[in-house]
Amino acid sequence: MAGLRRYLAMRFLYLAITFFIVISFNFFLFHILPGDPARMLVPRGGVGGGNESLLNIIKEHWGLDKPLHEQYVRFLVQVVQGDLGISMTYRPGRDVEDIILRALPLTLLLAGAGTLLAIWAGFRLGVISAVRLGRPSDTSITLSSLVFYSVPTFVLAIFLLTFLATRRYFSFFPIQGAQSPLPPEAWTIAWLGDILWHAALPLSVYVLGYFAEFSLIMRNSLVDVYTEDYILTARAKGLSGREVLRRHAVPNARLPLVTVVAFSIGWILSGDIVIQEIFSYPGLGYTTWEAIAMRDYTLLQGVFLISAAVMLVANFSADILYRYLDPRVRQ
Amino acid sequence: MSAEVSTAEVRPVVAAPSRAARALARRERLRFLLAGLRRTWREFRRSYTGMAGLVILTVFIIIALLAPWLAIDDPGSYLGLHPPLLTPQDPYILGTDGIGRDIFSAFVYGARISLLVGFAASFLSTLVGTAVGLVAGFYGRVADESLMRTTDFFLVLPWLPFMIVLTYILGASLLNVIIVIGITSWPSTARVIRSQVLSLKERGFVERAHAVGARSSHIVARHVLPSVFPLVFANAILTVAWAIFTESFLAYLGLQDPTVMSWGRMIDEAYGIGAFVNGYYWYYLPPTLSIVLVILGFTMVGFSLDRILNPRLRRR
Repeated sequence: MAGLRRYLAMRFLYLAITFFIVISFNFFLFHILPGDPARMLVPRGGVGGGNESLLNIIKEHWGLDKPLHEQYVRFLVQVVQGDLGISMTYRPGRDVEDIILRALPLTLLLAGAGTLLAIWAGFRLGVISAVRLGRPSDTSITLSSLVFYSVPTFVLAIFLLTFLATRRYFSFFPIQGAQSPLPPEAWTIAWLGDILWHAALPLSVYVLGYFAEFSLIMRNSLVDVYTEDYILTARAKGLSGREVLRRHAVPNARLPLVTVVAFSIGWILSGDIVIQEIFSYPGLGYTTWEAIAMRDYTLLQGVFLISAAVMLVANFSADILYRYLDPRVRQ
Repeated sequence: MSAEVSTAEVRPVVAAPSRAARALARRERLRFLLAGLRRTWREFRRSYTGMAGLVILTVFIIIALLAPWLAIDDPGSYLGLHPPLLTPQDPYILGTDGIGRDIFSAFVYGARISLLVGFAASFLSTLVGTAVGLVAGFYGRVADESLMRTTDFFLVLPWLPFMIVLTYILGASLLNVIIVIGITSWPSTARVIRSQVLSLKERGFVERAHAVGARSSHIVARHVLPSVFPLVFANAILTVAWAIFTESFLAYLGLQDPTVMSWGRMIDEAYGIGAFVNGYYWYYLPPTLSIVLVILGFTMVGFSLDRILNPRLRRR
């Protein structure tokens, strides 16, 4: 028990240090970006431009006239307080954290459900494939996994959108957005149906785009485990194939899957950007896309920080989960 | 570790090898290397996936090499040269795009971009990843801790936003895209190599080298690196697939050099003028299919090589 507490304390320490590095990195990375943020708010000329005293007021207000190290401390304090600054393009000067918080639920719905479904599908297919090693079902699962593994998510998204949501082919699904223009009353069955109907295609992209990695890992890992002596022992003592699989093979084979899932969070967050851009689905990925397109550095900085935080937490949870699933690491 | 005790006494006893002995050693090493290559090739030939991947790649490499002879236009110089949106017909094998460029020419030169970015970025990433993995695994202690923390940091970095910011800072050029992909993809290589080095370090031949007084740098260069090299190679092939994948992402998002016509950008432009909804299959199919095929080819070859060369998977 003391060991567990010590372990958790160490992991927390690492988490805190890494997060601190990420925040600092975030500050300096965006500081070497070309362009003066105050200058972006007050253009040099044109309508409403050329107001140099306004420029100075803005610089003073945001502390941009201070030396770099003071700005850095100020930034750290603000981040800790949950203040990510104001957006450069959303008018009138909306808070970045506000924009992000508004987009977050949809991303959690899409990326969360999409990832879980992809893991589940990958896990099942990987197990089927490994159990039927070398048979036609294994070959077809492995081949289709390899193909889906190789299809860039945006290609998948464009094809699904074109063939299932446009009038030229089949318009089974809405072409864009997370809700109908005139959505039903919130939290009713009809509303839920509307949300799901809009999420169906992007969700399919997640599942089709990400299951392959998990199924390939699961298959390889399980095939590997099947060569171990303890599997032979389990068979020799008369356990059925199903029992061997469930009690001995899967618990050992799922460990690499945990690691891969943790690392693919980065993939999923990045894939988010293009998937949501193509389906105009107003989640965090779409916000990122907008920030890229409009060069909204403060918003991009906020999204960057949030993504890094999500990935850190995901890796942290994977470490804990790994320890829970693998008694050998516990000691 | 008895090795550390013995080095001081043993080193003076070992005489410098004669020129003949060194030549012999070199010949032996070469023979050993060739035997290893032959063995790998024999196993690789038996894998259907690997061979299929190799065939796909060979076709695309030939297309890329022959690009100047296959294309009817030079890349970048064909703005509005032909009538726009022609269906496939005599000189235009794949028709023309929205602003009158020959799609086949763009497709053929796109193969060069994809392969160039793939190989170059993978080379860079493998170089960094292998160096970090070797040093961290072999020297341990402080080097290991600091390098692995750095690796962890790069692993949790949300790579696409990071790349986007980097391309803003460095500017969008072909070289920068390669650099950006290279410096965001090395951590997984570093981890694979490190764990392999850790297990190699305990093996007899490394201890033996320590015992006869070899310096660490010599052991790394002559014993550890050759032993991890096959794994490095398999990993590099998989990284090529990743790099091509990523380049198409960046190009699709408009973060590639505007004068570079890559497949990702062709898809972006095709999507932009509604080639998909309007059913201009001759426009959107070549870039999409070829991106998928090239990535598939590298993945298939990479997975097959990994199965043969990765000692952890070899037992099967």
